[in-house]
Amino acid sequence: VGAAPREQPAPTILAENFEHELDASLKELFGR
Amino acid sequence: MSLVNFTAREITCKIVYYGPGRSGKTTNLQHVYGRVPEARRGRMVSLATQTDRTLFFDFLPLELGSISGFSTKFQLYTVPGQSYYNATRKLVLQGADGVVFVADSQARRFDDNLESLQNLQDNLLGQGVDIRQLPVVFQYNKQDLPRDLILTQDEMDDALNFRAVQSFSADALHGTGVFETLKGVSELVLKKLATGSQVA
Repeated sequence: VGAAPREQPAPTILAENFEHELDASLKELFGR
Repeated sequence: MSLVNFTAREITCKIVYYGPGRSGKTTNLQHVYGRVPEARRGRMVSLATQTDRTLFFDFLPLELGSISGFSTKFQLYTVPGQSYYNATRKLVLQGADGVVFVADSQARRFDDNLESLQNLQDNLLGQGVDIRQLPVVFQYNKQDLPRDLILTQDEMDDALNFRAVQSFSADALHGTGVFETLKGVSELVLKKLATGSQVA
């Protein structure tokens, strides 16, 4: 009997500093 | 619902601009459309009546570029604000990753704002979505009108923003607050995505 599967943490697909990248993307998009 | 394609390294998110008729939802998208370079946006699709009221919805696809190595795309939608188009609102709302509630700051539109907010909550509940779990920001539009005609941002917050989420003062016709609103909801949507993604 195998061990019960351990709960996996939710995948983190975005880097911690994604807000900066988003900010830069939006500013570029809006020509700011 | 956000789509994350790990093979193509693409993220696609759906943001819906909701609110009463004539509050400025289409004006928000028109401003974004006018500011964004052609290469970074698709064609804006608007189905309007002869008097420029939104009949079905507006749709504007945006390419944000690379975020954390993922090519990120936002699809902006508006719903028709007029009360008798609720079936369309439900359709457009399906799978939304975030909502911008565009309220009309004019005091005489107070009840229309409340009715539309209630309608948003009802329609989300009908789709099994608790509004408290969904990224939502408020935009208080038409703040450029004379003070005696409008409620201030604080007064609008008191009237509508029970969860104290982010709110933005705006004059969408001239672009004020449009960028900040989109940035606010985008951050919330991507933050939520960062901790629990749907994989395609």
